[in-house]
Amino acid sequence: MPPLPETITAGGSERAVLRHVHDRARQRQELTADRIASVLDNWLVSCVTVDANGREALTYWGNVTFGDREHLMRVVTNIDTGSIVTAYLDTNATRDWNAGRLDYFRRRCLRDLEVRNESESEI
Amino acid sequence: MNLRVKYSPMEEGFDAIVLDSGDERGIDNGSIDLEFNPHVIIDLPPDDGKAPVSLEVLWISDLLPLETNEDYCAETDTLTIGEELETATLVVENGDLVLYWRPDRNYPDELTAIAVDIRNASEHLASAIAANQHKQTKPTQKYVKTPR
Repeated sequence: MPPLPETITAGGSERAVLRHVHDRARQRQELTADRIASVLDNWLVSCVTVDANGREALTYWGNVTFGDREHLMRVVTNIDTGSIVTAYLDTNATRDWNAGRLDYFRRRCLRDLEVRNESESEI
Repeated sequence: MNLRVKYSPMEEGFDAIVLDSGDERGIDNGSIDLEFNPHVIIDLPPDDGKAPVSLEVLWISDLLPLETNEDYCAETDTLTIGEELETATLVVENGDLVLYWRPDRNYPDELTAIAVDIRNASEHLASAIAANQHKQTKPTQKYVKTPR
């Protein structure tokens, strides 16, 4: 598995790949620069997520192929710098997206929820 | 229980920690977040298992120091991340990681993860604690998002 580059140019900007992502890629073979870039370029859902401490992140979900299946990969970025802080195959997002259920994303998003597909009118 | 700990030091205001049991991780049944905390990621085992295999906490420094975190119990050395534990219908332990599940409010045939306990937290989070020793000991403040 090739190591991740120090930066990934995607989503209209050059983004730093933080050390944490490099570490995660050693455990998650699905984490490749191509997949991360694909999510940032071709995301289906994006929004500002917020955690219990009020920490905000700009988060993207997009389709990637891994194994013999398509999954939604979540890519979390620093809201101030655009740097990539983590990424993973989001099991429940995949399940709900495939079922046409958008509530999963609404629950996690603080603001700026955008959906790029025919179900956009549901938001 | 021995957890493999990997702390990612502060970089651009971001740090994180991974606590890994070393158990096999599923791919199709791979990774989930907590319903009330999308920046806490849990890997699950194969075959629809519910026991936490590993835990990834983004911005871990926001939860430190433990002593000022209202969700830390010093008596049991347990840090709880999540909400509404009292509604859990399934609690699954994997050593020092404990995951709380309940039926999804919109899709009650499915379970959603609502909280996780880290037992022996001061031991497992030692690297993050050491890196954040300079932090002032002001109480952590919880953010309450308007329910959707």
